[in-house]
Amino acid sequence: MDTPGIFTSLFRKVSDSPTNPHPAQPAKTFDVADLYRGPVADTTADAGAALPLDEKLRQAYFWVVNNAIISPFYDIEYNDGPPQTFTFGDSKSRLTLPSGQSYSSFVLMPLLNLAVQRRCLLVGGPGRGKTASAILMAVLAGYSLRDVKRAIQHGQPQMTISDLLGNPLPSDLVTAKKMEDVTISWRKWLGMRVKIIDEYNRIPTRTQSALLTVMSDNYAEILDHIYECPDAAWYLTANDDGGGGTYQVIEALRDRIDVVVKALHFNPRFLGELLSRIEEGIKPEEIVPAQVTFNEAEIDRMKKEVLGVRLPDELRRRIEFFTSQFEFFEQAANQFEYKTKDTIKLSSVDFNAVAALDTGKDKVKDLGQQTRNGFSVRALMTSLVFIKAIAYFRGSPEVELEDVRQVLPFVLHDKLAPNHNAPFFEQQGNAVYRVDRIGWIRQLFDLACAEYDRLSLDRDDPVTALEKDMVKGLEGVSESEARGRLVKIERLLNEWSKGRKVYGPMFDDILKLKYMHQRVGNYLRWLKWKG
Amino acid sequence: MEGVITGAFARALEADRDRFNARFAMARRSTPRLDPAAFTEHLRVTVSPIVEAVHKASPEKVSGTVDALYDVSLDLIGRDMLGPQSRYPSMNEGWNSLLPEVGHLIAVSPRPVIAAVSNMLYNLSVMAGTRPSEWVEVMKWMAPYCNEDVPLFMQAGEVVAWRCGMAQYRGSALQTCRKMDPGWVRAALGIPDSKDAPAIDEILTRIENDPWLHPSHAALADDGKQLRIVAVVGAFRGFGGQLISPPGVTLSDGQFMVSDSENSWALYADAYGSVMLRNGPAMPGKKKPAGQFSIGQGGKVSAGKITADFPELQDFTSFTSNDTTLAVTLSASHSVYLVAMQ
Repeated sequence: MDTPGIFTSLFRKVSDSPTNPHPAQPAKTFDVADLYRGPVADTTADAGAALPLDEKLRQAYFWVVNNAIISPFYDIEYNDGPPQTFTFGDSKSRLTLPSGQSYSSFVLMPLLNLAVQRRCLLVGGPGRGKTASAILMAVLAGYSLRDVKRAIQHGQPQMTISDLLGNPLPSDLVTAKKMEDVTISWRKWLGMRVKIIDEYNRIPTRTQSALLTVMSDNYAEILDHIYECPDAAWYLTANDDGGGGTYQVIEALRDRIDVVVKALHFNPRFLGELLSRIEEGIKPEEIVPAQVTFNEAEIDRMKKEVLGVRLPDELRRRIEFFTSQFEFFEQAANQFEYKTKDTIKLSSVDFNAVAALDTGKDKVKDLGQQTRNGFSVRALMTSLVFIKAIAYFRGSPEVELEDVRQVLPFVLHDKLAPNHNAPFFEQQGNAVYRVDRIGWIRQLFDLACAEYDRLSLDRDDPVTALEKDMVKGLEGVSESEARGRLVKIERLLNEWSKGRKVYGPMFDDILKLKYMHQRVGNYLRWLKWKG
Repeated sequence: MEGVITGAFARALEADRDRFNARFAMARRSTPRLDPAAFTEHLRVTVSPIVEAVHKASPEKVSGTVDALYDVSLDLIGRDMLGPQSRYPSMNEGWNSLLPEVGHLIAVSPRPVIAAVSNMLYNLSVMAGTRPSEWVEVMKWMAPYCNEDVPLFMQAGEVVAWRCGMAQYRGSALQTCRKMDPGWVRAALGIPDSKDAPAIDEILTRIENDPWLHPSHAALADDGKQLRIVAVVGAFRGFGGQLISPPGVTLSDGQFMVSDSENSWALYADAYGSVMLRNGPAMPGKKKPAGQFSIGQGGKVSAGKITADFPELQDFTSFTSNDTTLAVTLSASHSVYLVAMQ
């Protein structure tokens, strides 16, 4: 029966029509509660619980783009079918009209950051709405505008650790005989679920270190007193992410940032919109509808639901293949395990000097040549979380390839350092990637996928086949079967050793084979010992 | 003074003037036809009495109530669901006459009560064959029985929705009635009280057993029943009904299903009213009667040993029945005829 179709909401104050519609399951029974569902959304906690959180997240997104942030950019593109493309000018600039619902990264990524409680850096010139966007996210998290504004930490050259974290009570400092006797007046922002650090690259280095502890370990420390902070979504802003702030941002702090979003320019074609806001006194952050605000429990539930989104094995393999491109560096060591860019970094030898050594490989085809580093575990974990988050936002129970393609550039923006001397950047049309890091990372992923398809790894991946045997475990495996597995591994290595070139994915596969060989070999030794 | 909002409502608007103005401006950007004069009139004529009622019950709840009323008004007026251009007149009736009567309930939980009343009236308005105005009147009558208990008020709304023609909620409404105070049930179902009347449980059992027994008669003796056409349901789409061609009727899992050349509907009917809910493409079902009824040449209907002639049904094209009702369709009609003992 489609009773709910008749009774459930046709309209809401918060536009639900543009949220990503999926084929609705025909309802088999009706619910008496449908009588009270309709054009007016009930915004109480109980009523909110009835609305799926991914739908609420989409409603929040569309409310923000339609009413709050003038960000008429759809740079996260999805296609349901072939998109139309147009080229402009002598430089053949290409514009795509996506055939699917597409999104503005400047709104979507901070919103996903709220959902998964991570750390988002908003970069861009002054007056582009970075702080306003961060404030809006805090209001969406249920905080009053007054509390949010008071809790913003404004980076400035005189900012001390006390300014950031709190103070010991002066009277206690005089009378206390032990450190435990000193009471600390902690800053209120430490206990909030949304934390905003404005212009973080203007914070002095020493205070940055204190900030690092809060960001990475979720606690603050003053005079041996500890304040445990709750999980929070962080929003940091910077006018210039290229080191142009008052203070150089310490690398560990930069490394803790999970996703980087650029505030794009203001399109003067939307000046009328701006004008009417001024004339009518509209401040979007003051009129956020309750329907799109989340309470703490909802944010926690949303985070769990995001992590529950399935990542298909085939996609995981593609991500592995892409990731494998970058760490391998053949000239870095003799022993296989140390043939990595990390080895060079730790040696203090000039990267370019080592990179100049000729390996005979096609330096354009080798994607690893384009970067000065590989992925950290943290970067990989963050990538997986945000990939799941965007799939969740789109209402999909599992990740799709385009989700990966769209999210990776924002997560890897500050994680993957380009090697601007790589021949790739010298090629015609590629110089732009020295500047456009989002486009560069996306094309890296596209090239890796093309190579993955060329090698038919979805259909024919000998390492995956061996892995499947390993996953089953070794318990009960006979000696002859174990020997058979060893032979398979050795044959594969032997076959590969006849090739002349080693690239990143093969390097990781070889190490994986060595790992499996060890495990099976140890098992065989144990079998022999057992008799 | 005529035309001026005064009292608690005026104070609440004044206290947050900029924000209310901004909300109106924001709403007008997405709905340019939102008329400031009409909205002001709505605030003065419709919203003001509701706010006064809440103020009387609980002055400290005025601010939250004004917030909710203002937001919902902007939304509904912008969509022509409330106010002078409303497509659903009963929505205005509810706001003008019911909400001021339930100020004590709005004070407890402003937005949920306002949303519940508005949504209920919307749902009744869009469902052919129901009586939203009657719902407003009965709910005014029910309000004192609910004190400040919002869930009880909502349950009353569900039961009264059944009474006003939403036959599909018959089962759940009767279950709710079983749990309630007899006075509450009598008020909700319009059952007259008298010294000789059976206990409310007995009356509910009678109603449960016979969907064509009107609750207002359920307390009376069970005399004089005869076979009658108790309802005629459905109409040609060109005349505002749902059906595009003369339908057929079947029984599927005890449920009457009506099909025309394109779609099928589930048919719910009892003494309070009848509705057809779209079910999708036509689906198979049993045409053979599962109950005691049959229909023969000349429109002769039999129910056990009782028979009656219905010449108007002689050209029947399909029929089926359950334990209490015979459903018949005709070659030259877009309706389903229901025959039962009443």
